[in-house]
Amino acid sequence: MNENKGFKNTAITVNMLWIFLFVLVPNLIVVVISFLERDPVGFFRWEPTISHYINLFDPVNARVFTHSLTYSFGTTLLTLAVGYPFAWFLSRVGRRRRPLMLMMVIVPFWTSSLIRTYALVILMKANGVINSLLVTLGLAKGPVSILYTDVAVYVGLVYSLLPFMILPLYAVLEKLDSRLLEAACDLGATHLQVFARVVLPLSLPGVMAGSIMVFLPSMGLFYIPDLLGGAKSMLVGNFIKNQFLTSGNWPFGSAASVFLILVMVSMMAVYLLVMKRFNRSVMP
Amino acid sequence: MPVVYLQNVSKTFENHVVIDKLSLDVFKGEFLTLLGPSGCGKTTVLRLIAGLETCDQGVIRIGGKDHTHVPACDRDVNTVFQSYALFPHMTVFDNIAFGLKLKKITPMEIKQRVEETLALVKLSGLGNRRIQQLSGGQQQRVAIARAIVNQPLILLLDEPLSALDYKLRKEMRLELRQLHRKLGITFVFVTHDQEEALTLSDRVVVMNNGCIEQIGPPKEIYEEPVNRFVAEFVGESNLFDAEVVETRGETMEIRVQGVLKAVKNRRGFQAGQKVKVLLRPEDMTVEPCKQDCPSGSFPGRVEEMIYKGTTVELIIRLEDGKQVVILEFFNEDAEDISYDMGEGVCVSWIDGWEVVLPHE
Ligand SMILES: Nc1ncnc2c1ncn2[C@@H]1O[C@H](COP(=O)(O)OP(=O)(O)O)[C@@H](O)[C@H]1O
Ligand SMILES: [Mg+2]
Repeated sequence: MNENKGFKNTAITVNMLWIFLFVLVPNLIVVVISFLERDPVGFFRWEPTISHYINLFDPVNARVFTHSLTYSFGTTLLTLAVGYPFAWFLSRVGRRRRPLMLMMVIVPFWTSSLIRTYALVILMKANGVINSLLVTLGLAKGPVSILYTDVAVYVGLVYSLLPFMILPLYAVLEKLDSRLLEAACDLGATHLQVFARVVLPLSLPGVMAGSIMVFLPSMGLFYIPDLLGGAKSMLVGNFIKNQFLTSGNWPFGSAASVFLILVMVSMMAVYLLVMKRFNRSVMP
Repeated sequence: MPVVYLQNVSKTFENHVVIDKLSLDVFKGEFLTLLGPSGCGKTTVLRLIAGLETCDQGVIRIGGKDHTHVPACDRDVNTVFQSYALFPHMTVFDNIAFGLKLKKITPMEIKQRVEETLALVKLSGLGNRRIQQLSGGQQQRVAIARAIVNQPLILLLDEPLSALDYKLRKEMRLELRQLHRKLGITFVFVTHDQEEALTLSDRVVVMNNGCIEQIGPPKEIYEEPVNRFVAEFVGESNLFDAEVVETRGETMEIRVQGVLKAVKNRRGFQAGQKVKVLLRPEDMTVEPCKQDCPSGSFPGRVEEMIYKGTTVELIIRLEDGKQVVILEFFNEDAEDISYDMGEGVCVSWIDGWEVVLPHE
């Protein structure tokens, strides 16, 4: 009993220490630096300022944010459009085939996302697999430019984030009582009406959770726009990366990070609020 | 013309024949009950009529038109599901209005019809409640309201009372009967409870293993069962082995428990044929035995006496070891029924109340 308690306390202490040292402290440092002046030699000077935050709203920089939001929004809609039918199919397929299909969703996680993005480059480049195929089949006269376009960035983002949409959707759709669908049919609803009036409203928690889980990371994935979009599509992720690694402007990069975190936190707050209201209406 | 007509309908699930060449007519306005043990295929028959299941063979006609391949949403049939299957994301009002909203009826009329139906199922004023805020009995009423508000040609009810407690169940039985009378809709009701079937229905269909054993009014099912399965499923019964000794037109002489008795011969039994004699507990009589039993009755001993309020149930062991159950009523003649354990009695039955079945 005592030993057990000792182990528990040690485990909790180590965990807390770990989180404090490697999560909380670095983030606090970022927050502090975002309020300091830039220094060409030492990265920052101990001189307080809020100029970096004001600078974020400079039209050039603000465009990066709005551009990013558009991409993230588009990615969320696309993953929803692809993921919903798949999750539905997954939840209705026989119990025996389900594990295999779930594996297909999860297996890509076993390799690094960066490596999988390089694989996409090989698929989409001018003399890559897709173009060779198109030319050989006579569907295109010469190579079609896919890489370094918006299409490539969307393909990369959707591909990387799709499982985060499918899994929460699957979780709610799997629990959906098929007797409710039969009751709706019995009352005269066509397939489309059953979907619109019963399936969709009852799967909204999954739609919300999946959207958040795709939207938030898509803002920060800097290597996908870098590798697949070339330098053309500047998103928040690679914008921050550039501030730190290329321009050496740590305080400005920090300010952008803090702002991004604030955007994400406020979205999470909205999500939790909506979910709380939804649960209150559906649960006893 | 029957409002529902099933002809040689068969349904197989995973190589297991669940409904086997079943034919059934349901008449307009009647209260028909499918009665049978759990797993005999009652729900499957309802689902076939509702269109939630397609049959492998046979024809289904509803309202005179072939409906064999018509999808559920296009059938003028509504179901009260066993689990209620109410929509958890809607209020009581929206649940009931679900079918009407699909039919492009004006909001004014929808509101009026929902309010009327709420009153009909005694839920007036609860329209704005959430489903989760209702008791089991109230949810049951919403499920019924959601179906009848559409004024379907046929209302299907799948064991709607089985989840309710005894008192509520008896109350709801009465209300279902009244509802049926008021609405004039054809009811097809499923239950495994014989008492429910007998008290509610105009006609009862007794099912077993995907087949129909007997169709008839409750009285006929109870008093004239066509075989042992129906007899034993529909109520308590005493079965005696017997043999036909002699036939005389409408009557015959049989030997039962070593005693000769004259009974009606309704099924053309022949002399020498083995038969079974069925007697309901309340159709048998018992008398204290002085010395010898009068001719035509069997001697036995009282083994158990169970007081049941208005009746007394006697369990009697006959001389050959056979056990019979007899129900005695308290009335002016017998204000006090009392036997000692092990007391000798003579058992007989009221002439003509027996049912003679072929030996199976
Ligand atoms: N969808 C199904 N898949 C496989 N077997 C089923 C299915 N539906 C019903 N059955 C089987 O059919 C038989 C009859 O079921 P059911 O009609 O529900 O009986 P009841 O309502 O009389 O209890 C049962 O043995 C049941 O296991
Ligand atoms: Mg059933």
